[in-house]
Amino acid sequence: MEFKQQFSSREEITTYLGQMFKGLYTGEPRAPALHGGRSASLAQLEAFKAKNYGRRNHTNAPVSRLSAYLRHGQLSMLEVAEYIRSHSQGRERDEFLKQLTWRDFFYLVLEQKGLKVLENLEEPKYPMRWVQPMPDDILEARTNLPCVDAWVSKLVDTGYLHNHERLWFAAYTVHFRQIHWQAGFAFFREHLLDGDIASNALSWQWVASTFSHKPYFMNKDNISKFSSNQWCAGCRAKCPFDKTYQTLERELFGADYGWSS
Amino acid sequence: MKLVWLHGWSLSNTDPAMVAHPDAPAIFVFDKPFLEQTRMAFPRLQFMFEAALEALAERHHSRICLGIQAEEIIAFAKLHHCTTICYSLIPSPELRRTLDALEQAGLKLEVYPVEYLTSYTGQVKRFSAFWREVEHEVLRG
Repeated sequence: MEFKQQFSSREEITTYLGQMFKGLYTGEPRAPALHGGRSASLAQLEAFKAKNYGRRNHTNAPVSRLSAYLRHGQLSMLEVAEYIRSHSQGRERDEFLKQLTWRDFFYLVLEQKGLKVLENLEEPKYPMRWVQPMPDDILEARTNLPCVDAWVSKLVDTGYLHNHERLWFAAYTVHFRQIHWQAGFAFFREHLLDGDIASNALSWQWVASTFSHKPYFMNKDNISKFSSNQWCAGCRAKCPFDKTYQTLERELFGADYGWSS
Repeated sequence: MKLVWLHGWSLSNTDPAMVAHPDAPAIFVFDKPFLEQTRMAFPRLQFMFEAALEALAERHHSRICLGIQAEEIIAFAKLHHCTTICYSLIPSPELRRTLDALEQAGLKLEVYPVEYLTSYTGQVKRFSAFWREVEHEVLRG
């Protein structure tokens, strides 16, 4: 079935694709938060300033938002690296280039492991009891945890999550709810504009401990610190994260492994 | 005659295969069997479609379509009397099925490597060890 290629507006594209792809997508037809295409990718690149990139782990810090364009080849790794080398300097320049290198790393792993990246690459580092599928209360953003529900809503509404939010959400689902990372991978792949097989699956495995030395997990202090208290201020939920790392380690993983010391 | 196949990792007119063959017909296919098996939110499809539209806008002969990927490429190649399919090599194992079908149909494959940030080709397991190997190359450029 061939698509037409002339449109008078973005709204027309949305309406047209809604019909053409009928039965092949989830949710309602609506335009993505980012405009796809080479021109939009270059505008995004030129708008990015690596200044303050050292604060990248804070959810309100400036980040590049280039991942969707890199994922679909609208920007190449080399041109982004070259742009940053020539437009920024110092530690922030180096830190950005280091983060960019993760993508190279994930692609090399994919090249070497192939479809095995969709299965546990290593044994989990604790006695896991993961189940599938992803529970409805998570999918529908009604866990009654303001932070978790906000991450889900943001993911679904914008096709994007800050990297720290991705890690927190993954840790919540895999460790606090004992959901298999493969269910999280599929949920992210469904919605993330940058969703791919390499970065996505391997990042979930990194959190789950099947592609790392230990599981990644966080507590309330971590979420509060790196989100500028965005969700914790005024939160009245029974917070599963409001514990020390030592306590969480025993509760989540069944023993004191020394990961939090 | 050569045909450029754009896939989901190469949605730009700067794709190496597109640059190498600026006058060749080009095609992008949304693979229907994949979409039938994989949950995909609508904005992802439009994002890719918009990228494909722009990538192919200047091509004299181009097609964006929905169907079985290999069958659509083979049909478009026949239409334009193309016997070679040019595409960018990415490590995704998901393309293997299509590539096998194209070869079985008697089409030649012309592969263009995608640029990596590093030239490292050894086995990789942990990022920290990988970074130690490539840090100088990445930071120096």
